Amino acid sequence: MTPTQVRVPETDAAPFPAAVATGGDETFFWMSGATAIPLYHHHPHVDEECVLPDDIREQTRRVLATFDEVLEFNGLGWRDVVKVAQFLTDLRDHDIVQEAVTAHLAQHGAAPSTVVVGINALSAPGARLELEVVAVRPMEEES
Amino acid sequence: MPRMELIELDESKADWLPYAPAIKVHPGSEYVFLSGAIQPDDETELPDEIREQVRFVMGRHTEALAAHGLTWDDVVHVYEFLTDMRDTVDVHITMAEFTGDSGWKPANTLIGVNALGRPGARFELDVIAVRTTA
Repeated sequence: MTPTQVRVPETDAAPFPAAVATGGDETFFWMSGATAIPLYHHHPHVDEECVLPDDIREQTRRVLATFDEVLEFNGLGWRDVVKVAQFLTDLRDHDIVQEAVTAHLAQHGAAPSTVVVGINALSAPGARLELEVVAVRPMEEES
Repeated sequence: MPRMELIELDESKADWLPYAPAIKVHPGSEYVFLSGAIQPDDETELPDEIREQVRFVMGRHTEALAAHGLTWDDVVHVYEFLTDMRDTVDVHITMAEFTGDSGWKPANTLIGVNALGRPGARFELDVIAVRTTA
């Protein structure tokens, strides 16, 4: 069963649904948040792994590529994503980020529920965007 | 079948990350969503020292998990909220005092925020745990 999108009339124009419902028998995948730095990086952070382009489009592209990889590794796609959290250090980036995310996910026919939060700082000093994703897979597709 | 699995995309780099890139939770699991654990008692002075604050929060969560028959090995995901990112290393070292050495590590999202639920609070942790239904 594909996650069901729930839309309410007032928010139909939004780029994401008001809610997404799951069926209750799915396998859940809880993913750590990721900025544009490589998924695997040392802790404590080392400076050379945390160098990022300031351009928000490029940061968004890299973050989406990271989740492409994590989803694919688990045999999942964006259509299996039920929730995306966007954390932004500057809300003026939001339109650009949302446009890029919506376009990328639309290629996969996906429109997960979404929350957008403006925050103070992310784990890498130059990071402007962190995404976090929750995905599900129906029980019948589990091997 | 274990109720949940730690997903590493690259085992050779697994020890680089103090958290899991992803955690897979099988059907038939029951979720326990814990509230934040900032010291809510306005009568008690909040220590400014970050490690003391982390120990308080982790102690509260350890008790809340135990009340549900759970340990840190049952935790799927945490949000770490810090008011000062320079505390990150101290926070992780202190959290490790509580999370044990089983090798289990939840998914983790770390966020720097303006303020937390009580003046002077520097650290808050949001915890999601899983238990198997009978």
